[in-house]
Amino acid sequence: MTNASLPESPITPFKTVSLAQRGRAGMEFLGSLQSFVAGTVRQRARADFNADPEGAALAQNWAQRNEPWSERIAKAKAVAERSTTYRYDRLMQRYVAEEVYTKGIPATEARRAEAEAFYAIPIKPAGGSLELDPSIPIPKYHSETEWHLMPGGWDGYDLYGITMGSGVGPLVFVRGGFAAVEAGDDLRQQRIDVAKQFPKKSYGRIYEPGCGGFGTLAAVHKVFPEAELVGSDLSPHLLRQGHMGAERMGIKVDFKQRDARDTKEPSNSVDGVIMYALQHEMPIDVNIDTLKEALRILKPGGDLVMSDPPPFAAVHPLQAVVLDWDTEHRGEPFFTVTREVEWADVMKELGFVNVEAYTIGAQGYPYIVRGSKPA
Amino acid sequence: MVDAPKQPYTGDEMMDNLIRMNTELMSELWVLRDRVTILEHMLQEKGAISRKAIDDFVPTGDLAKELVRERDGLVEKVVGGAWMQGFSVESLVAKAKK
Repeated sequence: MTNASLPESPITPFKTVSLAQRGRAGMEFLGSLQSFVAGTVRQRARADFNADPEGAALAQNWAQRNEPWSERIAKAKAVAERSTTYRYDRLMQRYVAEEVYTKGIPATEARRAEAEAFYAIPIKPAGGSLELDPSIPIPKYHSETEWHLMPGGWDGYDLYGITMGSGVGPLVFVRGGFAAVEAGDDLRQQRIDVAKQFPKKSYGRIYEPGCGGFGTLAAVHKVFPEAELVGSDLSPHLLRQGHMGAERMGIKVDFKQRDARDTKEPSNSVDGVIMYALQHEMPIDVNIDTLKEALRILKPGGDLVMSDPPPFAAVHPLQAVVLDWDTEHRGEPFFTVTREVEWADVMKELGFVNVEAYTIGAQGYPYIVRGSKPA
Repeated sequence: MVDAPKQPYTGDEMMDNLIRMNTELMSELWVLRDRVTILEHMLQEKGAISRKAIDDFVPTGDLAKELVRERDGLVEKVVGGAWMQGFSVESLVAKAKK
């Protein structure tokens, strides 16, 4: 097998392994199902919500109500669950969230030989690096969570790179319609749009804590091709995947196994920090320490751009219920607590300046919070 | 181990199960339709048989009888399942001979 004979994935921007017909068609079905449910069915659930007098009242002054978020969400959830359409929407969301693995892992196993051959293809070095550090303590919140219902978590299966890169990403997620992502949203373009939220025209060095793989850094490279890129994560598997992806694309990136709270980078050493879909994967205290670390490593005048699902206050109450649902039902233990917080206020308290919070999407996502280290 | 949901989403465990079964059947149906479509496309590309020939083909004789038998059996199994009245060796053997 040669690299040139492999199909290009719409998510992973390089040639990869294709699933066999049963696996591919099964995953494509999940993409269609999720897209339809999150688009058409959800709209009907929203109409049910708005037609309910209590729902309409909640929607009118949702952000200003003088109640804790837990009470507001509980009231909105009670209204939502009166709709059989909403209940069906949730069952199907859960079904797809489970099936991307219960179908995806067997589909990957059917291609194990091809996957191993793919990983053995020599790569022309792009000059990037991969630094794994087994001495780094892995916090329990990370190691004990099966993120997104992924059995064993990010490092629980040696071929998750294929499951995600050849299956879930290009065949299911590409259709949108999960968590805060609307049906039909273009995830790759969204990452590029997020990278464009850096306020300057060029950057010398950009750091991404919790980079996962290479997706966001690839988008950053597209916007700032001259920037030196550094990505860190706790997961060795994701870092290996990211390194391989970057090298295959000929883009120099330094990947390091680090806790986002302790990057080991010198103070005042980076021009930009980007955090994409990281905030909701960490407890509040870890988020605050991560922001402090970002502030420490940024050069004076350097910029931080964060993109995550919107806070509850910024969306329709039904959407808030949908976001809250992920906490219990889609392996997202910190979704609710992190959506209750106005992160722009936290950043100001920590010492960031020029802090702004806004959405660049039609339905509140992607939601951006950005700020700068005082010059 | 990813745990099963604690509560049925519809409020009724059997309703959840039925919807899951129905959705899984839809998935299987799609996998088959995808495969048949590819099969027809590849047969046509290789010049073995055209899609038009399949569309225009009218089953007759033993093939037509086989299709009727299979179709009726499917209807009986799927629709009849809701009115199952008990069974015996004799009834099952008789069904097998249909």
